[in-house]
Amino acid sequence: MSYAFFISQGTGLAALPRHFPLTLGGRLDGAVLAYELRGPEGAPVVALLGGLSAGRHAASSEDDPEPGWFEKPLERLRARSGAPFRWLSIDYLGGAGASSGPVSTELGEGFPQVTTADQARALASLLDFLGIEELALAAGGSFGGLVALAFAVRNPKRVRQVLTLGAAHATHPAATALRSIQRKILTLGAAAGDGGRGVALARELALVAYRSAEEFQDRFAVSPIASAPPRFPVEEFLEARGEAFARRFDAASYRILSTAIDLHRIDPRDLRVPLTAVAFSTDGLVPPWLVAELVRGARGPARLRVVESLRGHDAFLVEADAVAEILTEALHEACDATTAGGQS
Amino acid sequence: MTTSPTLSAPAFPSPPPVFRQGSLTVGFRASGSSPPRPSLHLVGLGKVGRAVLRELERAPFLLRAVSDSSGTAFAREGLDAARVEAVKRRGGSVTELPSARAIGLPLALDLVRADVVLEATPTLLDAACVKWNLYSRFLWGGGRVAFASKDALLAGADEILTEELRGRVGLRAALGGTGDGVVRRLELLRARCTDVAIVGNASTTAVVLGLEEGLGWEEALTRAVRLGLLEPNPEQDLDGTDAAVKLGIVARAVFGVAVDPRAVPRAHARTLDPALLRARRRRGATTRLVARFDRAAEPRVAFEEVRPPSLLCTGLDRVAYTFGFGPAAPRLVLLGDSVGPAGTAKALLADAAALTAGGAR
Repeated sequence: MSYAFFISQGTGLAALPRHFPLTLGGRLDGAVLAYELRGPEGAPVVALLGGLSAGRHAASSEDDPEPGWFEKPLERLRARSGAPFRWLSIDYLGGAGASSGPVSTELGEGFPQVTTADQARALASLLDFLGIEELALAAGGSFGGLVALAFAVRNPKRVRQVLTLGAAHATHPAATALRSIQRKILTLGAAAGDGGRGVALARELALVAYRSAEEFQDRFAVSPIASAPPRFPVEEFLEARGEAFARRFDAASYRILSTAIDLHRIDPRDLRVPLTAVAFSTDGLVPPWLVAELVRGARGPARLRVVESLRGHDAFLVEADAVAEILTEALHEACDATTAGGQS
Repeated sequence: MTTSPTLSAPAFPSPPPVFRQGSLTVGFRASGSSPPRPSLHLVGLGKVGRAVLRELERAPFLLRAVSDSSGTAFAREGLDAARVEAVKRRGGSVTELPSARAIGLPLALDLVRADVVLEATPTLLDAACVKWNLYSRFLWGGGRVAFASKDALLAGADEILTEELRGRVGLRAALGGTGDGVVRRLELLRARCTDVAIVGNASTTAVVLGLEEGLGWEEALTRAVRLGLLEPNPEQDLDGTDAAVKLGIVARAVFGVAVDPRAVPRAHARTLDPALLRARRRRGATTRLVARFDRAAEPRVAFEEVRPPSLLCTGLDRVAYTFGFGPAAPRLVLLGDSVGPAGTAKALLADAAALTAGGAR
């Protein structure tokens, strides 16, 4: 499988095993995983795994001063933590980033479906590549939380703690319904010869699900800003965000990662690694009752933290102080456990 | 491969017209006939050529001709690839095949006129200009060639990649699976690329990794041969010539600069110190044979220490071609895994498929 991508300074590419088998059958040959690892050499490693649209660039650094998807919470965490740590983030397989996917390989729409279990195995291969024996903490938000759980279940000896933000052991039918409509929009866009528009529209629908009704109420006036045809302030917001997303995300990657969410399943009883599961009060996609189910079923020590927020599913990115506080606690507990481990 | 003096090709009757799908009558279409398979002329029946023959059992091509140093065998209705492979596997030559003729390659190319020529002969630096002249004439005459051998490309990469010829040439196999990535981005590279760094020789990577793991020199070589990454006579890989040739091709294609691989300073892999390699490994680093070119400095091929996140930390079975656009700019990374005879064969056939995507002529 050939590969082509523009890689920014400080990004690494790890070669995955020559024949990388996939959970649903088939395999990827010659796949690579793009990553960023930042922080002082030898310090404990925290895997920071973002949402579907996030990637390897979690926060700014000397190598890349652009803000990342977890900029504010990580800034708070670094200020609170005291002890040094490194953070490791990846571009997902099958996504629109620099890891092997529809855009970076010649497979395009033919790129096979990858699951959260496949992402977890890729992460384990990355740790092997980097010579990191154990993660102090695997912390993931949304899609990243699913991957963190899949990793912890399959690699209990390679992670001391797992922390999830807006993620659970499985999805629920209402969320699957929403994502299936998004995927149908992608299909319609492709059929109409306007894949980019399909991606933008699907993203607009997703954004409505990510935020709470209360937040929309707070932010947008209800009166139309144009009359013929009627047009509303919230539409402008959604269109701008949708178009921005479509400029960097292709339909095939969107479909692969969206489907992976709906295919995600772990049995909480298989989870023995200490878990902190964070739910957000107005998250309709991953509601607190679903996260509570995960915590109740976990075999290892597990706790549920519910953060009050108007920001819905996106709260894990926006409630920086609350998230940083919980992360700091989990990181301190993980680093207090046994060795200061990491590099072989 | 011997070549006869340039001959005027005799007038050769045009092949019978090929019915493209769009021109079929409704009745013919209803009979379920499928469009004709693109035809191939395989030149060179060493390890790569034989790997192509094995792949052809599954590939949608018609093998119209094969050529080795003894001559060419040609059959309009197609040759039996398995039979050809069996002859060569036991050390025979093409002239043993029923339809073989002891004719030189220039004449054979003109007579056969297959849809695509797969050039799988060994890379011979002394023959670079001769082979380039041969294929230049063939390409300008409308032919299509997928190259695994690198000598002709070294001599003529800039001419091959002119607008007129670019669409008739496949470079995937010659550059470890990355050749089409270079061709697709050629305008950008020619306009803005400032430097190139290549880990293009999977053989030396395999040997280095073996030495890092504590194998002795002979064991590391044996393992690389077993993995299909090293020829039984691997001198061009181990002495850095192959790396220098690939650098020369890219320098010519992108920068328009002629680089003589024989003049590029390089170290033989035997000079590697296994203790040093293992010490680097313990520190989280590794060693790769890196070929570099930029306009300001002389081309160079050397074993370098690299460590993650360097883009040159290629795995086994992989090559990396990286292109810079200035100190802070993102780097274009092309990775390929078309290495060894099997990988190269697949890349040749992938090129043939791309070159004939519009259908057989």
